[in-house]
Amino acid sequence: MIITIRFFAGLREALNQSSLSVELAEDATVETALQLVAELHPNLPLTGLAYAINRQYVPLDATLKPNDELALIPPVSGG
Amino acid sequence: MQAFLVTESVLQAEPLRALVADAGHGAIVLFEGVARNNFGGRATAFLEYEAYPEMAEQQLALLGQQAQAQFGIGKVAIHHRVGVLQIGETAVLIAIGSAHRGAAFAAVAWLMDQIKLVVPIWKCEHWADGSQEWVGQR
Repeated sequence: MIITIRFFAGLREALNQSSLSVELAEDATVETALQLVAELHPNLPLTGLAYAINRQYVPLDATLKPNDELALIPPVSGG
Repeated sequence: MQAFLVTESVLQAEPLRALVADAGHGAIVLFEGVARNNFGGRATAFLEYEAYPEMAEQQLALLGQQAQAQFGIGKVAIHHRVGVLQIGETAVLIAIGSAHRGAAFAAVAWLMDQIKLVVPIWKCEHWADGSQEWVGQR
């Protein structure tokens, strides 16, 4: 299945793009997706992140579905 | 006007005030978070904010509902600016209408704390020396 992964702030700058489409096995989890990103881009700082699927916060073991939008959310600093 | 908004436009207090005004309210609290010229004493030239806008607006709306349930306030509206902000410009604007002032003061303090914890918006300090840094990230 194909999902979209979105990147923000320092992660977006480190990757030099704001999203990736990746192919994952059915029933892949956020953790699986993160492992793939780490393999594709070994220099990305992937620690201290929160995760959202389709704009809802989820834990690392949440399951992805086709066409989901996974967001990797660095520590926020709004306000 | 949307009550919960992420925008590149300059924030205006008056439309938010109008959104939360109610004849049964004895208090309207307006809070502005403003771009400051330093962070921990280090000189800032300007700020840049980035958001995951669709999710940030959902999270702001959720916080508004939670604040209503927790503090018994009336209407809430929150706008957050993104893009480049010069020193002194408003980054976040919160308006709360409430029957009484105490609940509104408590709610606005809680909302600002929650915004800094859960709303997917990021601040980049552009330092006076020309370097830049996403706050809270290395």
